[in-house]
Amino acid sequence: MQRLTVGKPLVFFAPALLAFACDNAVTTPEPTFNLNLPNVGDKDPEGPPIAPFAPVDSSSYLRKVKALMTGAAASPQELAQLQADPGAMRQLVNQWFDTPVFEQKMRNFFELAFQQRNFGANDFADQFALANIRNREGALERVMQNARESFARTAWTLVKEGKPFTETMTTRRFQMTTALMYTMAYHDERHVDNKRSYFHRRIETNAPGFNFDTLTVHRTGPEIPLAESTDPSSPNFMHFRADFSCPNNPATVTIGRERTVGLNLFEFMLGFFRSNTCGNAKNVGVRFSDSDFNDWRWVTVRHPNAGEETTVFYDVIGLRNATELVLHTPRVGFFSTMAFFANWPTNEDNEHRVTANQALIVALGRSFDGEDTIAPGNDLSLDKAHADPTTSCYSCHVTLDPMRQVFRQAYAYHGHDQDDPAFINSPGEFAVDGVRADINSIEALGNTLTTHPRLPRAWVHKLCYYANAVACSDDDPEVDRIANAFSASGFDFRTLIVELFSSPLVTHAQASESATQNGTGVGIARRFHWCTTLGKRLEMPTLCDGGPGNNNQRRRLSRILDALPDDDYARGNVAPIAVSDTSLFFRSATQNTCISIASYVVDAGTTPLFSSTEPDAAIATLVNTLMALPSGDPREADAHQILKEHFDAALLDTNNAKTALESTFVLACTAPSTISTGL
Amino acid sequence: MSISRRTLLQQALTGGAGLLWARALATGLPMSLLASPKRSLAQPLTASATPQRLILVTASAGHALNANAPGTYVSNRIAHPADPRMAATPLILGNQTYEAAAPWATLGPDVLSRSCFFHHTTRTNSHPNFPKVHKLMGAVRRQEMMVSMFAKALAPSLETVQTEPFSLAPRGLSFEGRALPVIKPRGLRDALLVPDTPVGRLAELRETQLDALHALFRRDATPAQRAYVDRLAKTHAESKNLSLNLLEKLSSLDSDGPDAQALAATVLLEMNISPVVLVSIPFSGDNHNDGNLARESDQTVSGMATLQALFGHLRTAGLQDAVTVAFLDVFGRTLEKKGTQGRDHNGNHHVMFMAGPNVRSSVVGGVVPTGKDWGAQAIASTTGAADEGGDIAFLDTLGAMGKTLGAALGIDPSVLDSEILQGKIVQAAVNTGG
Repeated sequence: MQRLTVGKPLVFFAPALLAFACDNAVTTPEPTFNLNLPNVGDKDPEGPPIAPFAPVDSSSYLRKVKALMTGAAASPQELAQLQADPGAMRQLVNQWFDTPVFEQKMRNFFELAFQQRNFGANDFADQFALANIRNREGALERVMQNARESFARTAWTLVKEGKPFTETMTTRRFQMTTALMYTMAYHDERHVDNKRSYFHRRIETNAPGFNFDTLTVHRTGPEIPLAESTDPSSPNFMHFRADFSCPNNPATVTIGRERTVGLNLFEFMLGFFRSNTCGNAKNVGVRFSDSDFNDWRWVTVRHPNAGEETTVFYDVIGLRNATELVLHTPRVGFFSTMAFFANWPTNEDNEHRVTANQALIVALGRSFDGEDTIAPGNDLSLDKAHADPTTSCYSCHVTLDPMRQVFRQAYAYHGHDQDDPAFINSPGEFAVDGVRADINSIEALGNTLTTHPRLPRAWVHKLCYYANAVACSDDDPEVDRIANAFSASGFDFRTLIVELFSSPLVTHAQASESATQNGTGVGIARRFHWCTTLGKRLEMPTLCDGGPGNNNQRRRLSRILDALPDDDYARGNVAPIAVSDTSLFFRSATQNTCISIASYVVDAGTTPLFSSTEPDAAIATLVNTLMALPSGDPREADAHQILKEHFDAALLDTNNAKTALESTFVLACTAPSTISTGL
Repeated sequence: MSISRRTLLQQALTGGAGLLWARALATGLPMSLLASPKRSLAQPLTASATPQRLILVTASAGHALNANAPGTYVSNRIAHPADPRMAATPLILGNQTYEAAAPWATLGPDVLSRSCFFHHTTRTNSHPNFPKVHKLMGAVRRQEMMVSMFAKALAPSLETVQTEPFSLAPRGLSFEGRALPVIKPRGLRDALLVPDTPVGRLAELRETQLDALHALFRRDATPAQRAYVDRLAKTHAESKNLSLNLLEKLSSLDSDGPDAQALAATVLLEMNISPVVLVSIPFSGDNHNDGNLARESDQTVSGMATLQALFGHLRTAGLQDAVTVAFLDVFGRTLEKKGTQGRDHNGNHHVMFMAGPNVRSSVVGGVVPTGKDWGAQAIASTTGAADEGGDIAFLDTLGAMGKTLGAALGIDPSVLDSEILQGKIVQAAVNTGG
């Protein structure tokens, strides 16, 4: 009987952990047991009737698209321009593309679309074959946030540099910070094989610059500059200065041995230190500056040339100026980042199937669902024990297994370079949607995805969801047109945005197959859109982070915002999660958000946005800016009248102009046009 | 327009035309998603068992609940707190008498007559493996967590407004790979209750003009826009018509602590929001240095008081036969004494306490000296007795616990066998008729 030891941390890696779809061989069809959202373009035959289509007026779709892109209300000039020339929408979208809020929105979209967001400390540490990475002062959370943002920033910077969007599949350049580079370099140094055994490549071989087995921390004496602590030629190499309590007050404390000192050093730089001499874990101060978590720049990741050493992880001073990371671990495209691997961890049973399937969902909007009729050239990679040809599992595995092979060739189960020759030499094959190709490197996978005819259409669909929270129809000619325009532009992302956001698929100014099949996506403003919209219109850029006020007020507002639905993604689901319908929670939370911030915008500061001494002007601004009904909008005058009536009634009730205007603000803030998209 | 929440809930619970609409209103998910049968469990629950909602008390601290539960008073090598409040006290479970710490007796015969103490391993002694324990260390198919699998199985029958478990405190849990948000009791309160401020108190005054704005945006609107504005109006009516009973309960949530979680969990189940609600109640914390096990004593007493309060809330709400309460921690703690210090992590032993109408009063499994401490024993699935030659091996007791809890929730055994790849249902612990 296998028993576990007691008292010290132990990681038990269960054999069936992280299985994909067919965890065991079965001889009868599996029960249907999933809540998969519909695939992109699916029409739900069981859904409610779709309201008959009617074209949306220019004022409504202008309000929708500008809010979606910038959070701001449309101006009277823009409305007049559009009313005079409906074709002006393309020009307006092109202008809004360059706004700071659109960058913010697209970075949020990319974090989700490239599936870089949903992981915690446990998932991240697993890539180091650790249960947790010990740290202080939130250093690890900041590193993980860097990892979440890194590829979204990469994609956006590629877009802004005018690079083809397909480079997101093949790029070796990534936006990184010093702290993230440090973490990736240590991950590379601490190689973990398929058996979860780790080995510090250079520390455990006493390579030049790594001939140390201990760290010495000085509790007294002068500061030791980091440059000296990390310089192998300095007498202070691997000596650090830190203040912390320790019984008997030793001047120095030394920890480490060959097997552990690498991790000791990695965690020390993140503020953590523990020695038997001093007892409990200490906070020795994070050795990174704030700027080390914010100095985003291009960093090229490449393999070492012959005889070349990989990047020294502890050389923080050098990393601060570096634009290259030399690693054994291949890093190519969105599907090789630490964030993607933390989202979709694998093991010896799953064998990268989940990694391959999620990569396919991201790149091409396709999942190995058993419906693809293409057959691979051979079944050498098929795990026949796992997916017997007589079972229902076979139809997915027959194409999935050859593709996951390319991940197995490149990566061990914890995201390090593969060192098992049996895996390195196994053939890989890509067979999806009419495209078949031998792929024997992770780079080849990126190239194959880049040239796949499905790619432009997949990204039209992802952005359709972003704009409408409902699917566009895969057989809509307008989807074809936009995908073709995107492809013909050399995958210029601006072209995709301009074509899509000015098209009937988003504006619903004219009928489309998508609107007929799936509706026009009139719905709530999801959390990120809602708080960026309010933040922009109320000049309150921190609203998404809790907004103004003291800590209690910020915490309260954060609690309220947490009750609002936000965009997300889920394992195996091609369609993103984008809630469109209103709810009890949504209505209550939006109202309470508005009540919470009313006092910060009415009579606040020396030049308040809304002054109770000038209620008519304030009400006009509420209508034009907050409710996004510009002059010229057919509802503007009536909206003004309704708000005015409320102000008068509230003033009569309270005899307090500030309270009356705050209540009028809440009314405008909860108006249908403020809390919705598509009205 | 005045639609009471209770009316909606009645519609939701009795089916009919309002069902999907009501569910969509409350969850925000499109009705099409809620309606689609392809997203519901193909195999229905058994008719022989009453489908249950689950309140799961869970934490990554590794509380010492296992150390003072029935079934651990079998050797004088096993340490229990000397605090008189924790004195060994006889409990009748099924037709047997066991000893346990005195606070367990405070639950009373109505709860103990439907309580099971299930001794098992969690296969880890590392705090960060909390999410993996919720995946039964890989035994749940498709990387799913046990509670999420349960929720997916139960939601269609219970017609809850959302399928996902609702977490009031525990973090690190997921549903189909995405993190479950945590909405703490005060978050629930702050989202649903209009603040008692001068502007908040003008809510009633705003109604007329808000109706006018709804009418304004219906005017010259497309059919889709009109339909959506109508739904906005309905959900607004719904939000202002929460029952007085629920409003009073929500307004009393002035902390995020265990007692508030117990009340909030009851409110959520009254509103039929989710089939599974997750809470945290401490029973010792990570008590390595708990001299004389004083904190363990204090928290066991206070934790049991919270548990009593929870059962009281459920009875008041008429939910006592609709809800099962259970505990799952990342691991248990060592049973033997560590000098004057506290207890260490014990991956070999954990006790799942579960109480509900489908649970048979029992102790399943037991403890045996293991290494330097004690661990759970293998189990005979038919009797639930600890049996080193039993058909549930030590390492499979984690999966067996999951399957047994699932059976107590009324989930079809064939579904449990399909979705949990390890262990067997311990028939002696459940009243499913299966």
